[in-house]
Amino acid sequence: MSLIYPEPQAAPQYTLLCVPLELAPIVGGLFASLEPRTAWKTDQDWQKGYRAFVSLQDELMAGCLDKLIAELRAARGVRPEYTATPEADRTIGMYYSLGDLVTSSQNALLTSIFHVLDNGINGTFYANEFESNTAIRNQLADLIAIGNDQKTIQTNMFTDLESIDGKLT
Amino acid sequence: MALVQRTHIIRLRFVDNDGAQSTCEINLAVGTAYATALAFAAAWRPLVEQLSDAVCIASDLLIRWTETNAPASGSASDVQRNGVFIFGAALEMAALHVPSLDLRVLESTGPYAGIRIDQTRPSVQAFAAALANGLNGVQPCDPFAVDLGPLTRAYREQV
Repeated sequence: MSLIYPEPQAAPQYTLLCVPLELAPIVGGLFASLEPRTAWKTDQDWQKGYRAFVSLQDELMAGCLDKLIAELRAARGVRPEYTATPEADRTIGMYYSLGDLVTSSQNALLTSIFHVLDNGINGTFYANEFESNTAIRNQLADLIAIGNDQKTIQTNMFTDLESIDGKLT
Repeated sequence: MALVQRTHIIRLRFVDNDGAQSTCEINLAVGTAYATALAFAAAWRPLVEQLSDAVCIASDLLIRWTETNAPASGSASDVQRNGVFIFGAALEMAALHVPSLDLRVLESTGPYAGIRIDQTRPSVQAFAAALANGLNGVQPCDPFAVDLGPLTRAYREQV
């Protein structure tokens, strides 16, 4: 029986197959049986088929599912009380859930909003986050102090006006 | 142990309308020069074709050596147990199969123990380097004339 390599789909679709590791040598052998030219109808079919089935043999050793699980667990993060548990012994519940992450993210956002307001209004210093030293309250206090000293304001105004007038002439 | 050269073989491969294939073979004397043998094949092919209503799709020249005094194979040997060595990157991967893989080259610990070939072993590294980098000035290629790339994966297969 000679095989014709199927036309690829316009939008490639894939299926995930979990192969028990002990079966990998046998499944690999089945894939390898489609390497010879005699398995395919034409040279073009053969070349595509050869590449595809060697690639599948390669994937059998890729441990892709393990990597996927590891990536997901890394994204979720292990709960502090289970950090000492060996990774191989950890169960699903030892990692943060999606709900935990959403709540944590919302809390972080609210905390950040509070910090920016606190820094801007009160001048509270948040290292490596919000470090402005021009707090609105301090500036208001300065203005009020100046306002209480009309003479200073007037003196300063005359000085400034004379300076401007001098530059214009 | 001695490798003795055998007759060259010219093999013509024919395919019928069902896609089934068969071959016609002729032997040439050991001393026949390769260029002479190839010229013979080119001239012989049409003579066979005119006697067949199948289509000749391939012509092979086989240069052969045979072991005349082979020692007994080890008790653990099994040619259905292959080592598959995969070379090259995505879209240009090529596989090479070694019959009756020596089980001592397999990893002995970890999840792939007994399945994956230990690529740190000197024998594996020497084998892989010869194919990936060339041997005696010759760079091997895959069936589609693409040079073999570095060894990416190697493991045991059962056929």
